[in-house]
Amino acid sequence: MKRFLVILPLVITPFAFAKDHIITQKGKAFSESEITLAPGDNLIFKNDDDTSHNVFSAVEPMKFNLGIQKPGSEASHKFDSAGVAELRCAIHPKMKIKVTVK
Amino acid sequence: MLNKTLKIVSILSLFILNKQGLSKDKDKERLAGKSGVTVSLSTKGNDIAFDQTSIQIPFAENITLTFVNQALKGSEILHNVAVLKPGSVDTFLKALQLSGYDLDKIKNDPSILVMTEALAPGASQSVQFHPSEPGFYPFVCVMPGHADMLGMKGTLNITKASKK
Ligand SMILES: [Cu+2]
Ligand SMILES: [Cu+2]
Repeated sequence: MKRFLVILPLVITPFAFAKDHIITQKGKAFSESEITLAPGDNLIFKNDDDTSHNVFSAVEPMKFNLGIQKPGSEASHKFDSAGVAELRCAIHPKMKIKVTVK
Repeated sequence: MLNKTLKIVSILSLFILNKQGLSKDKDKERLAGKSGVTVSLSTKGNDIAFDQTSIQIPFAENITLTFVNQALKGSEILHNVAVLKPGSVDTFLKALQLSGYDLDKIKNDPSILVMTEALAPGASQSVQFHPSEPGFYPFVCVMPGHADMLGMKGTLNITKASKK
């Protein structure tokens, strides 16, 4: 019984505490080239440039589009399911970041 | 000695061939002006979109397409246009994603009939292509996300030329 009580919080923890990870966009680049998340984690994109960005992922099941993101603003996306995606910026063809959810 | 002469001759002939290539292109331009059809396409101002998504033109052997990137100068956003073979848009967009939106990798894709360079705001380019028959020819912008995510694509409906 004691043993069961010890294990239980370990099982619940990853679901109970989804993490926020911050990625900065500066100099027309993401602050990381890759990042690994747990399902349910959020990626928060900060635009520290004086130009707009537009983060998206085109491939299912992680297809999403944050839309035009003005200088100084923040936008976030929650990654629910496991997988790998390459996120890009629709305005700056060289900007990309690989996201692994597992 | 003979070797050297051969080299000079081959360099010279390359030069001449190039020149002929250029004048051939000029001829094509002239042809398009007379017997061909011209199409004008641009971005919808500063939006990641074309100003037209459905264009109808009569069939011609020479079609000249002029594309203008009308995005604001400070926006830095690049656009281009690729005209594809009828029915190939889905296959092409998958290949484009697999290439990592790499213009150099995708430019030889068999679906492409003609493609402009990636154009900076304010820039324009005219390209020519020669459709084999009337039909619905898709056109897309190959910049990351523009066609596949944001719908920067359309159809060129090339109809049978009316008989006189
Ligand atoms: Cu960007
Ligand atoms: Cu575009």
